[in-house]
Amino acid sequence: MTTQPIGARIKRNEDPRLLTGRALFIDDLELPGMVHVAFLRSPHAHARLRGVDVSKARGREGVIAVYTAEDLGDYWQHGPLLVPPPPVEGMVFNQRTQVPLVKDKVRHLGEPIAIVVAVSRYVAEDALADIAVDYEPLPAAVDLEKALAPGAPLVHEDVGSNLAAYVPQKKGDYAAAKAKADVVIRRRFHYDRGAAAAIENRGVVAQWDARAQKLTIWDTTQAPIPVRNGLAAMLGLSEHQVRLVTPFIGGGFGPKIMMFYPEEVLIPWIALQLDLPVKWIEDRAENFVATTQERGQIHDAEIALTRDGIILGIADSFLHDTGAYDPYGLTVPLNSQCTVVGPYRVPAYQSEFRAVFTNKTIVTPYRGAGRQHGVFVIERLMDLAARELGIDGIELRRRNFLKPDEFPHDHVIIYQDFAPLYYDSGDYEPVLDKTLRMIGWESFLKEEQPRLRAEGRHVGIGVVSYVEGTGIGPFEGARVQVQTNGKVTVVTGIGTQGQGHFTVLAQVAAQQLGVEIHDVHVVTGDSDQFHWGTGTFASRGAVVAGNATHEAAKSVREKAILLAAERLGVAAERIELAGGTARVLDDPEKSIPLGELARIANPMRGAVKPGTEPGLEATRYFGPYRGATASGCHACILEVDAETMQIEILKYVVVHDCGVVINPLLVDGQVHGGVAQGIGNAFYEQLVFDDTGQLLNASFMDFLLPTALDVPRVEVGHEETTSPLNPLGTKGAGEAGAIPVGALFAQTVENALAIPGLEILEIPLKPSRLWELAQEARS
Amino acid sequence: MKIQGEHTFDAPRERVWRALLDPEVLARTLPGCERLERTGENEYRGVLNVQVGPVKGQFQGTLQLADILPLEGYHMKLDGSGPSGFMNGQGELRLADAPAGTTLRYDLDTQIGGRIAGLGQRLVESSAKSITRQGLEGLARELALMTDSVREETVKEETAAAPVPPTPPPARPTQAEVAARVAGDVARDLVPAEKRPWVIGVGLALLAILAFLLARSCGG
Repeated sequence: MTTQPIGARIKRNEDPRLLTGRALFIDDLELPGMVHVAFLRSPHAHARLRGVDVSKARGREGVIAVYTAEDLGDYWQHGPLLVPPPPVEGMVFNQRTQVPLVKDKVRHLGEPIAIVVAVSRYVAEDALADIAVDYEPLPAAVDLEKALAPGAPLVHEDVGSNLAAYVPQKKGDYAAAKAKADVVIRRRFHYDRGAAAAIENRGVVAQWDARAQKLTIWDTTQAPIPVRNGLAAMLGLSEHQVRLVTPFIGGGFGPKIMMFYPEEVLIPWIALQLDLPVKWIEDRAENFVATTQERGQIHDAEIALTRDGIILGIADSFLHDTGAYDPYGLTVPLNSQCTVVGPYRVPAYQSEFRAVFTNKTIVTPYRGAGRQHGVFVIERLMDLAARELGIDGIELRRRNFLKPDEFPHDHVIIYQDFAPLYYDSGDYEPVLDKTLRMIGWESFLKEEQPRLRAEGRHVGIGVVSYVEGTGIGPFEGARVQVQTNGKVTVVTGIGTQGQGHFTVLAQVAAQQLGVEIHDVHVVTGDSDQFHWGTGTFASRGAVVAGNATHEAAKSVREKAILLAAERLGVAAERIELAGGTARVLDDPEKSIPLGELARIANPMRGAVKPGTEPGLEATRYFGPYRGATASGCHACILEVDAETMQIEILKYVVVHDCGVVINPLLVDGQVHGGVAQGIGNAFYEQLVFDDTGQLLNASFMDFLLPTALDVPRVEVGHEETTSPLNPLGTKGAGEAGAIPVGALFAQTVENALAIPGLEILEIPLKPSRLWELAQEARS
Repeated sequence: MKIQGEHTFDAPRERVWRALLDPEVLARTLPGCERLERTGENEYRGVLNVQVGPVKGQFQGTLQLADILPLEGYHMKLDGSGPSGFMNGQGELRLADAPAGTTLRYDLDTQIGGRIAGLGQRLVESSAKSITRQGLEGLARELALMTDSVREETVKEETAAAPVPPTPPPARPTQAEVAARVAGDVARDLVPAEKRPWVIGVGLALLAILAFLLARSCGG
């Protein structure tokens, strides 16, 4: 092998297809006789449904069927609980999952009331206007604190309050730690709600083949196998009768996880009812109300330290907006709870959260999945502590970082995978040092900033650290096969939404099999090809499916070497796989192409040894004992226009440790995209609701996303601390770019403005809000 | 959102009140009004076409009047809904004498929701103002014409032998004209962007005018 495939900075296998428009996206599907649906969605956030009259819509020319909740019969059921609550003592969890169509009460804006099936989407949309709905609008629970107050409108009357969950967790004795502290700093932190805004919205197409008795579903889900299994059960079919395909998808970011969205549940059912192919593509206006969102939390947090800046303990109590239902359990607030301890030694930690039902769209993980809040709280507390104690913020962090000999480190509290929060490995100071070098910390503070200040410019610098739990279980699998043409196929059950799995998994297989990376063909998200798997989320694809691929490829390698050794008449130790062949190490002229070996491994006549499995093929599964903990630092230099409070990011540096890097180019890309989303989250994106639960900025005219002009060139550095939890030593990288941007942004803006008393304790921070905060601090 | 304001018409109070109670006048005056019919005592049903920014929609609405004091005003309540959302409102309309005519004061509380609230929010306030202004201007034109008609009738009685061709009623502005005027007003308005939930305002302003006209018809 000339270059090692693992670690190679190479372009993506999938890009030629994507860039030339030859990849299949769901809206490309055109099936003979296909019909289209449109959903009637509630314009109220909270309303009693007194009646729905669809008779006129049914009579419209071109309308094939109209369904309301009543028409679904026994198929009308509450959705599944996707993630059960964690095993935490004293925990409360009130399970209320979504319904396919509203039967009695609307609980959030855009909740579907009826569905029209017609010859075209145009006719279906027109027919929505024919439906008469009698709503009795109700006061809405919108604000988190008001929603928990006595007398608040109840999202679910039978719960008796809007409390969706309560989870207290502790490590050590915080009260004792606080009693010993020289300094205790307490603040309230706000983080508001945004939308993931993937470039491609959701879509579902379903086709029932009556002759084959088989249902094919194309779905933009991140979790093809769980969705297939769940839909088969709901529809009364065997799992094998349902094929679920996830085509290329324009971004997932979490909301496309195994949600069993109403549309996902209804389109296949309609295909069976009508025996016609059915298509639904979400439009952007629907996406703003019907696709899950994230980020509304209010934290009351405090940190107790010694005079020397050593953390004695942290306490946090926070409210989490879960929206109208809680099908995804407590993953998001648990992540927040577990991220507050950061990369630091925290002897005592006491945290409790209340998840709150509100009349808003459901909250489920969105890139970062609650970690943003945790990083914001701890990093802001560190900044405030540094200021209070008169210790440099970087020095304060160094004093509290976990040291390399403290790993593995057990934080005791229960994490989203229901195991104790456990850092497998890490080395934080080298990451920080590299970040400071790359951003030019010393020279900026000593030379540039004084010069810029003298010019009257407000340019600041900041740096924050974070850790990120990645690559959690339970498992993924992969089947690796050498074809008779010498090319290799890797098949796995995860879905792909742009991460680069077609390249990363190819690199992992190529490393074992000695083939060119572009000769490895990867298939993801087709349950007929591989029907075991969990899904793409929690920065786990490369870790979990990657290691499954590694194990399967290793088995194929062994098989190929044994077969080649037998054919070439040499010992197996003398065989290497390289250049698409098996050859003798010290006699490379003696070789057999891998394709030839694949043919030999599948004999058509004669006898084989009992127990022989045909082909150069192996299927393996990988389930990590725990998630692998990645870490990193972000730093930036930005300028604030003191009059308009507009910001311009002048330099942005990320140094990231995701263990063994399979492809640095792809990790760079993941980080760039994450930072872009983080910048949006920190400064642009905020879903604004009025007190009746109306969403006031449900379009890209008013819900601002950062553009190419707002996102700087991001310089990325890599550090590698190998994870002991998997054979490849990798950790996830998907969410790292997005997590710490809010915290960094707050610190850097404070540094830029240098207004005594200015404290940024909320995200997102619009120019208008920043101006208000600056005015308050000045007065 | 609150829709509040006043407008002085160059017409005596009794005439304003009477003019406003003509459903045909009303339908012609309200920008986007497609139909308006009486469904019961002090109850009306109508169809309005509204465009706010990118959202264009037809609203089926009901209007209820209460506490009607002839020549003074009344309380109104309206509910409208359509594919692009809903708009509800309630409030007061009051007439008062002015030095050069009659002043109409309107004060309405409105709620809007659905797609029109989500997509049109930034343009709602401006659009509401524009539609209100267009409605009031239309009403002023109608009033001027009615005054003329009365005079013509008097003239007709005096000179019975010489018939005068009746003046045609002013043409109702087309959807496109209304939309174009709203767009123009919104564009002018956008610079001072004080952002408040004014989506309802658009519908309410229209409704306020409608209510006035309706009140007249029920009074008559």
